[in-house]
Amino acid sequence: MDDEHGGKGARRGSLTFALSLLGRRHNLAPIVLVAPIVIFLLFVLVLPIAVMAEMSLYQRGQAGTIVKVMSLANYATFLSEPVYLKVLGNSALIGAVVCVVTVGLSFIPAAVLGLTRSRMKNLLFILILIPFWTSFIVRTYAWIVLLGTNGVANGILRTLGVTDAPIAMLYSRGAVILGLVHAMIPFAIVPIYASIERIDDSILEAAATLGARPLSIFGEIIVPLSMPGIWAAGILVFIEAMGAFITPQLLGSASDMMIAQLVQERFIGSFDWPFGSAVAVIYLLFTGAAFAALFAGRQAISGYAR
Amino acid sequence: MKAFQFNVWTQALLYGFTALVYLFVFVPLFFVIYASFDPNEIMRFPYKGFSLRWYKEFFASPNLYIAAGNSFTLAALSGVCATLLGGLAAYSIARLRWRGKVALQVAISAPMVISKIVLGVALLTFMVDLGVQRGLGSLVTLHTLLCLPFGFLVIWARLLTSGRDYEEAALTLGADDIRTAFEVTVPLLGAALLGAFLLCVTVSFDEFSATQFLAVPRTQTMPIQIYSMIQTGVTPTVNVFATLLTVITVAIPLIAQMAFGVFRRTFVR
Repeated sequence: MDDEHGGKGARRGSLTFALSLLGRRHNLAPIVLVAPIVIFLLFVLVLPIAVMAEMSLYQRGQAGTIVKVMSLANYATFLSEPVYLKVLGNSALIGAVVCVVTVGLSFIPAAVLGLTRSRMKNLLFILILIPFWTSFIVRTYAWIVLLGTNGVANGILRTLGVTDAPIAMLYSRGAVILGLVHAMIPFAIVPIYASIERIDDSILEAAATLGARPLSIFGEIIVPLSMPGIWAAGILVFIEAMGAFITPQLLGSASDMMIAQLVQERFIGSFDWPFGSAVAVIYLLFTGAAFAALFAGRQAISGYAR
Repeated sequence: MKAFQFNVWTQALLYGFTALVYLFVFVPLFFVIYASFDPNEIMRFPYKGFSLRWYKEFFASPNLYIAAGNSFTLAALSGVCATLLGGLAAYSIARLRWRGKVALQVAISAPMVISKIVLGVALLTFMVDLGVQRGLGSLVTLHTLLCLPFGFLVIWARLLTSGRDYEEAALTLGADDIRTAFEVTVPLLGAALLGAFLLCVTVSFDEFSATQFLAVPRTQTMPIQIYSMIQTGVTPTVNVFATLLTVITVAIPLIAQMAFGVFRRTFVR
């Protein structure tokens, strides 16, 4: 870490040297290298979103046709129907609950990972990366195995004689939240860990020497200094959880829809692409706003922490 | 530097809580693997016996091989495309001087934060607008977009931390930029290029949410197949499928991590 900061000045000097050579020779014009990626992003990211936004202004016609008359009718429908507002509200609420629970559960493991200097660290780190690579569908499906009528939880309860009839645990909002928290924990641990690892040990030593108890070392030093990481984790988890599709689809109840499910249903189920596009645009704007708000908060906090 | 340590009781408490969270993360997967060896028709915990019955049944299904073939082809092709495009972008951003770097970096990272459902329906709408047929090509395009941020990040992180001294030496000794790029920068990137490719492979291999809009029966992938199996009713072969998917998606990057240690540096900047 220190080495990187120390070397920055020297590197910048050598970079300008390299660039001056580059400029003289004109062999690798940036535009040649950048053009493919810009064209790719234009055709696969930017234009598709623009065309989808255009689609959101049209109406569905008879038998799968699209009436190309522009209006904001789809947006008006979304914002005036309680059914659709409830979907947006549900998604934001589930996102917020999952965000708080996940960050809460992830903080201590992240702190252990960030503070320990033992050989356990590499093992703990690789273990927490494994879920990143494990199939998301499989991780969600695991909860069906655990919580189903004939599942592990009910089997244990039955064997212990606690219950006679199986308890319905799946296909509920609780199951969705559980599944999402489970899926998001690794995503929250990594950024929090990264900011705790940067904390200078000598600050903690000093506090301990001066008689601070572990709880106040956490509350007054580690938590405030790792706030940027906590915010980053929070933003990531909130956005991912709010836009979840697989988890509510497999573990949730059909009457308790989330926003990504609504978009998917309009495109694949009822073939109302214009309305589906409008929901997608509203959702994009909502995520953008959430991202901006949380990011602004993070900036303010990291300014305070430094 | 002596490492800071809490007192024994606090340590025990912290490690105990961490162990519980790790258990919470891993125990569900363990039960899926356990259930895949249960010989009974109806899955009912506690499982009795151990057999490979459902493995045999699973491997006898022809659909599996079609989906597996599609998944591997798709992952390999989009992994190559995303590594090449991401590598070019990473090189341009880390090494060259031009305007609009920040904008490009934001655009490349966008697919990581934008909902996959939205990306999928947007590309579908655009393709229908242009009259493009859905096929393997459109899936490769979509997956390249989804893998791009990961390919970019791995290579960019490596370019930021290494190699400049050697490049300067080559330039000073009279090699031109292209020669320097191919004979110094790219060989030095070696492990990072492989790491980027493998990370892209696992991202593509796992993708469902956006893929469902562009996949047709001919191009169905393993996640699409297991998803529809789960939705139509859980059968014991699903456990086998899930176990195999877990093994494949964990083995590829784990081997790369053990061999090259590429991912740690990327995630912990």
